[in-house]
Amino acid sequence: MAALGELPYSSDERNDIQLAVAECVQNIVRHAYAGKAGGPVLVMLEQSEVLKMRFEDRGPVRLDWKPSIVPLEQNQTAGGRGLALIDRLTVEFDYQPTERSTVTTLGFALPKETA
Amino acid sequence: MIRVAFDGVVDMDRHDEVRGRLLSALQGADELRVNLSEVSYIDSSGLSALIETNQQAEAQGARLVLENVSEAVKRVMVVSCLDGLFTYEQVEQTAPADASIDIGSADLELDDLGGLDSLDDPADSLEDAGELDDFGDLDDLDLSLDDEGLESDAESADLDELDALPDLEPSAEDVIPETDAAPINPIPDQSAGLSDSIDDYDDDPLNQL
Repeated sequence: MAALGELPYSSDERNDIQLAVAECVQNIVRHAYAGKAGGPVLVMLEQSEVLKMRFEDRGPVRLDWKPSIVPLEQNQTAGGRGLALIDRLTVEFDYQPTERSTVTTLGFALPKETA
Repeated sequence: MIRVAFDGVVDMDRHDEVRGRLLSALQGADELRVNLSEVSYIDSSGLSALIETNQQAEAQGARLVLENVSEAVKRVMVVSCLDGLFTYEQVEQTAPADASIDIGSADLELDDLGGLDSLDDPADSLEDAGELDDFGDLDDLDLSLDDEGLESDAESADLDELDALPDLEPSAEDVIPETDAAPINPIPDQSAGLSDSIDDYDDDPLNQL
């Protein structure tokens, strides 16, 4: 696949991807690694009909936890926008705990010239 | 009215600092103006600090105004459906008092500075310069140079009068630009952890993608 930097995303699209990735990684650092730096995060890229990014962390696995997303339009509180932002900026957002790790997948629409 | 400014990356790493500065500046204020013209990136943590400040402002009957919001911040505001929450204003930017002046990379020759190369004795030049009237209020200080160096006329420069000078403590209204801009890349550096972990992941089927 083409390197991410070679995909003809617009500036706004790149900023959106950057924001979603940052929110995802921050979520992992905050929740999987209790805010401590240095925890491993394996990042995998896959280009198919969408650009997929998988983030696998080795924090405590919470098999019974599912992301609770408050729609951005309805959120009246100061916090809790990270997951909703990821959801807004992606075409696929999946959180999958496994036996020994947790895989978060973000899917982004390919640039129009590529799709 | 209180004004604060932020620059660079406003993300999780700076959330506590930004939140603290905002809420502290808001205490007792009837209006807090936050200049975001130099913010290159903001995430949900940064937004959270702004939202909390806005809520606090409303609670105390104060007004929060976001000034000169950068395009990067505007984009996130819109995506987050927060563009209607805040009051925005575009104001004329004034150079901060302590802003550095970029003089470019031109090499200045001493000759270009107009006569400085003729200053064999700095003391002579100060005597020649003499008048300090150009400095307005300082013209009472009849500075002169004698063989012992610079000294002031004791009659016109009573140090006791300095007590009457205004308090020079910087006020909260000063626009204080941050000079320790955070790195542009807002994504926490995971490189160390990643390289350590990759070996562990060799057998992981996900790694074969």
